[in-house]
Amino acid sequence: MPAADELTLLEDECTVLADVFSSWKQQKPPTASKAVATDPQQRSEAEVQTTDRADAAVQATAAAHGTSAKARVDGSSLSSFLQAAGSSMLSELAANVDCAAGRSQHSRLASSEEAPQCMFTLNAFSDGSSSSGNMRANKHQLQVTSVSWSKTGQTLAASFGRYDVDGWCCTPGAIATWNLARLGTTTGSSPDRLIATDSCVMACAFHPAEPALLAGGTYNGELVIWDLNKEDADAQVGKTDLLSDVRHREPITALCWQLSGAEARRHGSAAASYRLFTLGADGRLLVWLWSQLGNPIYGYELQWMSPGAEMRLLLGGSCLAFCPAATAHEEASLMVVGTEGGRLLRCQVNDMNEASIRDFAARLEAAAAAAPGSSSKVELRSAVKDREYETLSATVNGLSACPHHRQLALAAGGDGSLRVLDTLRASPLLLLEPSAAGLLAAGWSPSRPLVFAAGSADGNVYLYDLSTRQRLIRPVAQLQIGSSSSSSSSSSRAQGHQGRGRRSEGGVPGVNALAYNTVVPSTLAAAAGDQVQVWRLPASLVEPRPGEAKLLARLLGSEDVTGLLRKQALVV
Amino acid sequence: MSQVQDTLDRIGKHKGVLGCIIAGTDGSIHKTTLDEQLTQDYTSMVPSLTALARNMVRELDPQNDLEFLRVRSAKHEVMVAPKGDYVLIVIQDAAS
Repeated sequence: MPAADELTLLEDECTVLADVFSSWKQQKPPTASKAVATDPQQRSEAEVQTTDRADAAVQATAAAHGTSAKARVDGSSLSSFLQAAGSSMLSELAANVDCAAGRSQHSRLASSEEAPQCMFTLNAFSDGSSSSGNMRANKHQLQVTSVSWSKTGQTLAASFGRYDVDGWCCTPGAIATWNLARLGTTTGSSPDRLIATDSCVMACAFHPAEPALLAGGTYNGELVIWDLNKEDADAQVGKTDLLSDVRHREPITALCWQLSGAEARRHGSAAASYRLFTLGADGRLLVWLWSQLGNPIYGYELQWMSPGAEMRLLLGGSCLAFCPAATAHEEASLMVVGTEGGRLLRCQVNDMNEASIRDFAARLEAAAAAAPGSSSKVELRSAVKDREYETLSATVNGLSACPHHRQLALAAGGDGSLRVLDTLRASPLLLLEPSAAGLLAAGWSPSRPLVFAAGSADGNVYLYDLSTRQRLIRPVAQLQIGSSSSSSSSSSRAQGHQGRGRRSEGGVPGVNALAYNTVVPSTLAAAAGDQVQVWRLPASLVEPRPGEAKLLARLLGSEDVTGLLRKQALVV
Repeated sequence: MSQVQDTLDRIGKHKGVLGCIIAGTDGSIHKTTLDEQLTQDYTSMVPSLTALARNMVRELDPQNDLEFLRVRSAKHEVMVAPKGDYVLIVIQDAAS
């Protein structure tokens, strides 16, 4: 077939295939995919709980005694035993309670008895012989007129003045303070602060709530307030006006801070809620707010009407003591005031409310605004209540209210009598005479209701404890404060009655002031001459005994106090 | 039982009572308000003292018998009322 042949001759194709590899392209690596799987996990759940608990404690004990296991309680015999024994036991317990007071004498451990000892002797002025440091000499023969403890019980302030000034006082006085916490370590007994004043300072009192505020009353009738936190130069923060109408014209003899509910409500701070009562020898009792001393906020006079007479006499006050208020919220308004003539008056100052204070201020302003020479004086009300107590035959030098019972007060007179007064009765409960010399100061112990102290002109402080058994009530302790070797050799001689500031026959200065430290009741400060001594009292005079308060209440109710005390002494 | 508890409560409530123990004269403890150690101490010593005191009383007078025993020390007062097989011991503060 020629066609097929021609076809093959016409074909010139090769059917050879050739692969040409690229020089720049790389070959893909050969891949192969595979799959892997882990076996499924085995899981199982289970719960566990404790059903049994056991507590164990381990303690080492002393070796076990012979076994006395608890016997099985036999109900009936036990109850019959207990009925019989229990009733006798209860009666014995009751008997214990009854004679507890008399018996408690025995329960004191004998080893703790000690005598009172003098912890510090504080001098504000240097002796003539020894010149110690920067203490000045006592050029004006100043004596301590009063001592006061601060609220914290750490600082003691003493005011210095003289009692034998005639007329206006030009002798400068002083206030000295000591911080007892520092005294043990530092040298000597020089005061921390010694503030000089223009005239003699006759009374001083620390603010009951503010430890740095100190009030002082001077011979010229001025009232000065110091803030001890400030530096020496301007420690004085207030002074009464010498020219105001209502002021003291005679020496201020006593100062007392009293809490006032109205002021507390108004101001809120403890420092401002106290009013200051000042008693002067001119018979005026003025009330001040220490922050504004321009004018008193109220005033009273000690006008006393002698029975049968028409006139009222103005008596000069020499000391005062406020009876503590019945409750903590009430203001103390009752007080006992002692006068120079020996009268003890009961006074009440409860009519000071807002209206009367405003009225008083208005009257003061009116009097000040009135033309000089007109006879408009501000009239002061009398504070004296009708009740009067038995008079002493000399000046009442010290008064102290009992902090444990409202009705009791202590009065010390220049005739040597120490009276325990019931403020609701005219005659005293107890009349004691510690020594032949007159008494100049008195104080009731803040911790024991039956212990009180009196400072006398012979330089001793006599401490009484009414719970001791004695046939005759005698002082249980006598602290010798003044000694004839103390510094200033004054030439004033003793006279009939032992007045203040005079020395007794032996030349010993009398104890002019004493004060218990209410924070640490075992500390007693007493001052004689120009020295202040701080004594520590033994525990027997400080720790309260059970049944004392009850005994005190019984004394008040009884008619024959000495008999009761003697009987008390004989009960075993 | 409540009566026993009542009486013990009344005694315990007295002023100054520190504790109260009912023990047997052989030294076994029946009831106590004090802790173990103190109770052991008292019950090991008080019944024998009571027996001594009773002996003394009966020797002086055979018709007599011990009714109550009080031991007062500086700090405590121990009051013992023995009756029959039991002894009631009460410890009180000496100051009250």
